[in-house]
Amino acid sequence: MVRPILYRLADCPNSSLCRRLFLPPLLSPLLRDVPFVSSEFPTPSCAAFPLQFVRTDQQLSFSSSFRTGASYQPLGFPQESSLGGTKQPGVKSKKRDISAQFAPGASFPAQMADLMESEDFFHQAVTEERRPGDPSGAKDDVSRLSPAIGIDLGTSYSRVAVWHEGEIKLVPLDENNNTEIPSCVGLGGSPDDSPGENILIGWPAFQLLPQGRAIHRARRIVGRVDTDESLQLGARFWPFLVQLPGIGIRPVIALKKGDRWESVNAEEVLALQLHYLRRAAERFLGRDVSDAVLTSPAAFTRFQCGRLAAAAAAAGLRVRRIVAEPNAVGLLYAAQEKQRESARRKGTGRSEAAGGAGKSDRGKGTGAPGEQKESGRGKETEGPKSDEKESEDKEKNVLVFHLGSGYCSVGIVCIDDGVSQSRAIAGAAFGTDDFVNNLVARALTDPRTRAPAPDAPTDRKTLFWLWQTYREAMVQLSESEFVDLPEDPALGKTLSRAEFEESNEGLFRACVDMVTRCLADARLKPREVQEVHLLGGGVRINKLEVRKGREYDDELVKGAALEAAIAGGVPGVDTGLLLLQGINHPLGIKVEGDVFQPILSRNALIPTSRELIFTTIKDNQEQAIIQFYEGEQPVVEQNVFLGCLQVAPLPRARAGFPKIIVCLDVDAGDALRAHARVEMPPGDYEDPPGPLPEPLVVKLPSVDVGHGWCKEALRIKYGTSADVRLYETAPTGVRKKDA
Amino acid sequence: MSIHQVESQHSAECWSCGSAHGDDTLFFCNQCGAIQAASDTADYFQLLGVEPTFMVNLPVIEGKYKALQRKLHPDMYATKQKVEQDFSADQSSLVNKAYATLVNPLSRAIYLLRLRGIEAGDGEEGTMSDFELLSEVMEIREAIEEAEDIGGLQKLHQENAEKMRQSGAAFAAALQAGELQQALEWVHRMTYWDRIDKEITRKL
Ligand SMILES: [Zn+2]
Repeated sequence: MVRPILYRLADCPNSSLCRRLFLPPLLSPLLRDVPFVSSEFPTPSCAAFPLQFVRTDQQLSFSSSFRTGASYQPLGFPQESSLGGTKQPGVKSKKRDISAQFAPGASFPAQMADLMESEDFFHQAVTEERRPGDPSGAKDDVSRLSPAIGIDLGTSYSRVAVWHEGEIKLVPLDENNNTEIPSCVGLGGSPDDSPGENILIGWPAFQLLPQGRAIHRARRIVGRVDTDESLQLGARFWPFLVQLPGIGIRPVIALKKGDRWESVNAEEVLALQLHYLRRAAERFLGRDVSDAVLTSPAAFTRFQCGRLAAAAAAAGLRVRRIVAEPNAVGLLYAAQEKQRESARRKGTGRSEAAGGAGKSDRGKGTGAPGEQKESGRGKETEGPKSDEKESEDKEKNVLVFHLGSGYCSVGIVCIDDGVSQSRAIAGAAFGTDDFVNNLVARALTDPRTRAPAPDAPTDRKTLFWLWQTYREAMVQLSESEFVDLPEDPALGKTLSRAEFEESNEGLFRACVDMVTRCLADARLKPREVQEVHLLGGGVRINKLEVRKGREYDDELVKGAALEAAIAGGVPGVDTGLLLLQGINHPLGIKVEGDVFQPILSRNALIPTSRELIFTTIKDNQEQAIIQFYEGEQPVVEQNVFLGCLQVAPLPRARAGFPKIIVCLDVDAGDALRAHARVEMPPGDYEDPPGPLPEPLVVKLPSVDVGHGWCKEALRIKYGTSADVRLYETAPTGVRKKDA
Repeated sequence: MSIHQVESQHSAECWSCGSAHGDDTLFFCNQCGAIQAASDTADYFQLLGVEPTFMVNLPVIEGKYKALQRKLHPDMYATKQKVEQDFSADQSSLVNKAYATLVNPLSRAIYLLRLRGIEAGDGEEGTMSDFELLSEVMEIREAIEEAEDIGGLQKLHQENAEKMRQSGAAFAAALQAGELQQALEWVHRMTYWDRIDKEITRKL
């Protein structure tokens, strides 16, 4: 059984467990009355999510129920789990093996180019060759029977789960049946520059980190620019090459190949990881996998999500949904609560049918796919009043706090009878890595002058070693007030908890601020939050040794797998389960004076859309450039540029006359589309205003190099000549009053 | 307004079985149960099936909202026809907007006025000519600026919430009495309380 991830305040009277996660002591004044409830996850009584694992001494192995039917193939992992070079045994797939296209020794980018080019081929292969290749699925409902997989491509660890044979299963990712592997990509093979090297993923790559022959934490880099302060601070301590010239470009990263640096980019690294994970899922399921639901930190911008989706596409995966971390946890929890509830009802002898609306739960594995699904919908019935009361009582507000190694995500979800509704979400681009960064930075600073210590080490290897030492020390601080550090001139003698907390005061404060903001956004008082769920991977990344058979943070990937099954209409999934997600950051456009005009607000539940009317700022303005941004800042420059629409030619008219109608539309899959059209209000025109530009629709983000240059370039080229402002519809009420 | 709505106007008949819609057809065909195009006439109260008053029962709205999304959300239509998926996307989006509007007191008040043909802005800006109120708002702003600890801010926050509640009640009374001009003025007040609320939470 999976070890519980949530901590009960009662479980840790001396708050040692809380210390482990750092946060409860900080959050507890804020959430004074809230029990840090945990439930065992999953509970032994929870029939919906039995995990088919048996724990042996060193690793997890599968119980007898591990069968995948006719297409089952024994797991055959090559010795080095390589992507390139060697042929992978044990994969019974008639389609051409994509990895076979990698020529041994070909350079990284060239291999990626191959991978990208092979995309068309790949999708073709999946659709054309599945039928002969897959004995079990022959008809159109193949896609229905083969749900998307859930992937948690974490900053430090990756996991895959899938709805399979009526339950959520974690996918073994390497020859040791580890269900989580480090998010590392490395170049293996001979240390000299001779051909025959392999791309390594996971643990084998992890071993190469200290030598600079592997990349980790690509998710921290993806979609960010070299001016990013947090990257600037943290990248010094990475063992591979990171160059941040600070000019607004994508960070240059490279790994060691022989004695040279081979440059890669974060998307490529993510694509290689995703490809590996996809292949592991295919092995496990014995079928092709083409769709995935990914989790993302709440802080991820749409630009970053877009880069993630591009990496997935390069790995042959279509992204069905990107689920923000707190929502993934919320959905899984909602499902488990519902399961518990129905188990309880059965236990007390009450008929489940008494539930009424929304009780289309037909349990798992009871067969009859699709029938109740039809009857559950299509009728516009609402439960009788008594039902509403009941569901009201069951409603639970749950605060999810996830401090990973690269990102921190906070969310409040409302759990009610299988539905998880997002009430508020907040995220920040820091994680436990940054806590360590601060410790190392402090160690390298002369305490008196506050300048870098003169004898501070500068070489990559030593810095990485220092960083790892402090990371280890940070974990030990969970259990003791002081930690003795190894003897080294660059280190002090000990590290105390007080020092740790002092170095990271700002980050602690930011954690609390996020919770406060979520509570305010959700319009909830702390005591209205019934439960707090804490999870975080940062604290466990510390030991360098391979730790087999230990699982944490599985909820994220299980939630993603569950959402994949729900959104894919997989038979056997409780149709009463539903995830209602919101928008993570406000979306809007730039208006006159470099002001950000939000159109869709943070936490608006999706799908949603809203239109606002804008107009010209100059007489006879020839065109309008609608610039789309995402972010919280009133000054548009400080937000993330998503793309622009050129609305031209505008009809000749006085300033403030043409109506430029801009609509932002976010669908259930969180895809954002911008619509723009022009209307002329009726009136007497001296000159006929001329034809109107055709309505436009564009999917955002529409730029693939955000990087701040686009807004600068737009400013240089157009100045304010294509700006817009809000169209003034004088409130009728006000006019009445004046009259 | 989404792209789908342009393509598929709300018609008087079910697209699937052809039977005529009843007066109360909002989401599904009365005959065959198929999902229909989003209504372009129903107001948000009708969509959520609650009385068009200011004093709504929030838990009821929450319940109705979730019950609707269970049936309308695009996740539930993954294996259905394209036309149903499009309708589901529009319907789900519309219900989300209805819910968001009604669940917040200020936007609910503004919407109630809009249903009566009075435009009170979008709650983001208001014009104010009541000097007494203006100076009150100024004072509160100063108090927020000067508040030094969380406790002080929380007190202001509570006071403000109480003002919002009172203005809301006054608005509801004015609306019921048909005093629309008065109701509009209460909405202006609520706009200020809402803004102050945001300012305080930003500092909290
Ligand atoms: Zn019909």
